[in-house]
Amino acid sequence: MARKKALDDDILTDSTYYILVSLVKENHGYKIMQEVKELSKGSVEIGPASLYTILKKLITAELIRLVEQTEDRKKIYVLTIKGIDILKKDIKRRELMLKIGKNAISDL
Amino acid sequence: MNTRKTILNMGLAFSEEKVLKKFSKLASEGWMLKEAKFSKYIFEKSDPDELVFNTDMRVLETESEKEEYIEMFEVGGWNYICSINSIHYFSSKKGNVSMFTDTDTNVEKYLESISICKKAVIITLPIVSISVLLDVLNITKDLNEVILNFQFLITLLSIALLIPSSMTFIGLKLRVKKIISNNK
Repeated sequence: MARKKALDDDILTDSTYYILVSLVKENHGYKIMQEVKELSKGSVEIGPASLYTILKKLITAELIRLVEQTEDRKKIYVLTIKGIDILKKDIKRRELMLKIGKNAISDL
Repeated sequence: MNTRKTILNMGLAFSEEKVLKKFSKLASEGWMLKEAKFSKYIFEKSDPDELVFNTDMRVLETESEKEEYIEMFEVGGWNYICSINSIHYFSSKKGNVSMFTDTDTNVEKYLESISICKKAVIITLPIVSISVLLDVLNITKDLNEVILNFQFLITLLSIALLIPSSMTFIGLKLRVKKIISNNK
């Protein structure tokens, strides 16, 4: 499956992109769904199964890490250096896509 | 009036969507899914409700992992019902966010099961094929009775494993295909 290598190719799905954005600062895993909904003004929603799967993949790929667990044992995650780097790369990629599209449309 | 109701569990490989719709129908009639067993599903009398159901397939190794997992679903509006064989059943109010919001993760749900079925088929299909071939070609007829009995037993066990594994494999592959084509 080509998509399994998505993280290695530094091409992130929209869901993964938003999850990384919400983990630029430390955050509870379960709060990510609400935050992504707010950040994207309701246009992107992430379901719990998708979130859980993607978080596990991000940990395996070392793009995020577990921070010290709080007293109530709820897990807190944050981007690793590698994760920040991948996010920056994908932002650049999306900026380019945006620029190309805007240029094309402006000629209409 | 009974407070419990049972329906047959025919497995999810071929008819997951139908089964989940059936759960919704029963919930709207006041029967809530309580437990999934090998051969049946058990429902309890409850207030009628408009619910959607879905499953996630995942191995949860520790109790703490399961807690985190269930909590994430609950926060996402999906209430945990029960588990069987690493298949976890959830319900949510109609209109709530989908359990799977991208194709990749939706497909990945089935990959582990598909892989296990594939391995089972790869092991049992050759055994059954060779055994049948040996019999058809009459190669083994003069062998010691003990060996023949052994061959018969191995073949029987292999067929018993081959049939459900290959059917499940095909069913899940079709399901994955449908998910991908639905999302094009």
